[in-house]
Amino acid sequence: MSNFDLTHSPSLTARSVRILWASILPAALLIAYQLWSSSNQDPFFPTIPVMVEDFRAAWIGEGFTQHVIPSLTNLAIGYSAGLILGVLGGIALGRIHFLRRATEPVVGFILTIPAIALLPLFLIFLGIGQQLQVGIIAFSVFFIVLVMTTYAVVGIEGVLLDVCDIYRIRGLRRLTRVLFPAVIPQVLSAARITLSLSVLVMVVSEMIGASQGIGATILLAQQSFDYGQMWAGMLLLAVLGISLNLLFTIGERTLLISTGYEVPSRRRIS
Amino acid sequence: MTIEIKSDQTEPVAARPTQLSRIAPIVSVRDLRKTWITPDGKNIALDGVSFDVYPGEVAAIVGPSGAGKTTVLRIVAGLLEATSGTTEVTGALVKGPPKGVAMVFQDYSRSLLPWLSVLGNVTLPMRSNGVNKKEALERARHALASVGLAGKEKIHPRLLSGGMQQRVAIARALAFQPTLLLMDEPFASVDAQTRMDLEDLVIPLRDEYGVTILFVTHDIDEAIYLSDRVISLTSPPSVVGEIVEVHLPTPRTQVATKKHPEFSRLREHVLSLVRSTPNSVSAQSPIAKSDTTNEESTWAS
Repeated sequence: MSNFDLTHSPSLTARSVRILWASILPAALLIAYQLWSSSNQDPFFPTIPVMVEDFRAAWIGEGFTQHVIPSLTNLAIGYSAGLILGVLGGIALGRIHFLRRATEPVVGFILTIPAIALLPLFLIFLGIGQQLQVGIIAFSVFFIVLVMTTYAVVGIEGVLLDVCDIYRIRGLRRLTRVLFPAVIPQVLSAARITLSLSVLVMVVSEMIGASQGIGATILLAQQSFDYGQMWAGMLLLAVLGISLNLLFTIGERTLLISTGYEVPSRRRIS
Repeated sequence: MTIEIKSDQTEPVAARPTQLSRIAPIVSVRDLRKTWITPDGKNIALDGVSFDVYPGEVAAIVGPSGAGKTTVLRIVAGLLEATSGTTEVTGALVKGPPKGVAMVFQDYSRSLLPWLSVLGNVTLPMRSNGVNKKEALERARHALASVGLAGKEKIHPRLLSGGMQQRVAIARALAFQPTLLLMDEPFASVDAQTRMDLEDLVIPLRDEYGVTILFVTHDIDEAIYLSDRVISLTSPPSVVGEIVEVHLPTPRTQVATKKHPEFSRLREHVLSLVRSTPNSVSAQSPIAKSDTTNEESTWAS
């Protein structure tokens, strides 16, 4: 198996050429920005060294424990809750016809409203605090995952369900061995979409309804003319996005391999 | 109604071995009717189908395109509800999939679970029915060995050829130790050579596992080669046109059996049954449509 992989993976030089080629544009942009900002001396656009210095000051050490950790905790709780409930609800709706019929209009209606637009409502119901962030992240994730899982379950091959019926594969076994594995690819794409959505919802909800967290800090920096720190916040969000994506890709591969799906040999995610 | 009477008359009662009529049938289908509601109106697929299958025999259901062969099988399997009529399996009325029945589907690539290994696929039905892990593994290994797949237990089905995948499906059915094995065009999706291999695989397995087999096929040769009796359906609205007894010497082999004069006679007879029945133009059930695609071309083979 490993021999097979070795002979078919691109050679080391080909890979480094590709990486080099891919990094030309970002590097050029960085250099261009640095040259432009240092010659311009515009307080709105600090130079890169200033940004990095502010990044260190704002997000490392105390900033990390006070703002990044709570934000990420809310993100993790809200995202997982939305995802798990969405998958379970989606399987239920996909399997129970009358339930799907009954909930379809409401789900369709909620799906058209961006969760962010409902922030004022959430503020009234949940108040300011951790529960607001967790609640609105879970809400925004839940409905998308719910709908995509429902359609995935509805789309399961009829033959597969016939096999379950004939061989009396029921209950928990049917759920864990047949239904859930069958919808994993769609659930994973829903999870990927909602991951970036939940970061967005997290930041925006912190900007409006929180005194702590990444979003609140970024907004505070902008409002108090601390543009270096504001840019540091942007930098943090970029780092966060890349790390979460990487983590997701690893988790996705692990899940696909452990459930026996074919994993694309080299899935490139921008 | 007249058609129904005709089907009773044409059934060769005298030709049936006397011993069979004394044994209680394992499958008993009486006056089965199935009407599909389509946008063009009602579509009568089955119009009073009656037949019995006796313990230990292999029976084939044949018929022209769209005759509702698969529909009948699905009703016996409890996967489809008949509009009227009764189906009994081992003496109990069928309301949903009956106990002790296994089924092999035409589409092996979809009937196997791609996320489970070969062994996982074979053991899952047993594990779902209270067979303990040790026994399930033992039975699965034995069944896989019987279909010639020893050593492939850990592999995922997608890495196997079509014929091998169908062998896994057959092993899954056999390890389940059913009293009745239903097969829906089990060999229709594999190449001709594999088809013969699989046909020859099934005959000894029947004796080894003591299972009664009812299967649907569009291939007359296959029906005669494998079966003790061939149940021939007419064009829709379908009834049983005739039940043909097959008395061919055993053990049957692809070359000798198919050269036998009796085989040619039966082949001609069943073929004329399947082809002579009047074709009604519009009557074709949505289910039966799926098995019509490769049906026309196979008469010649």
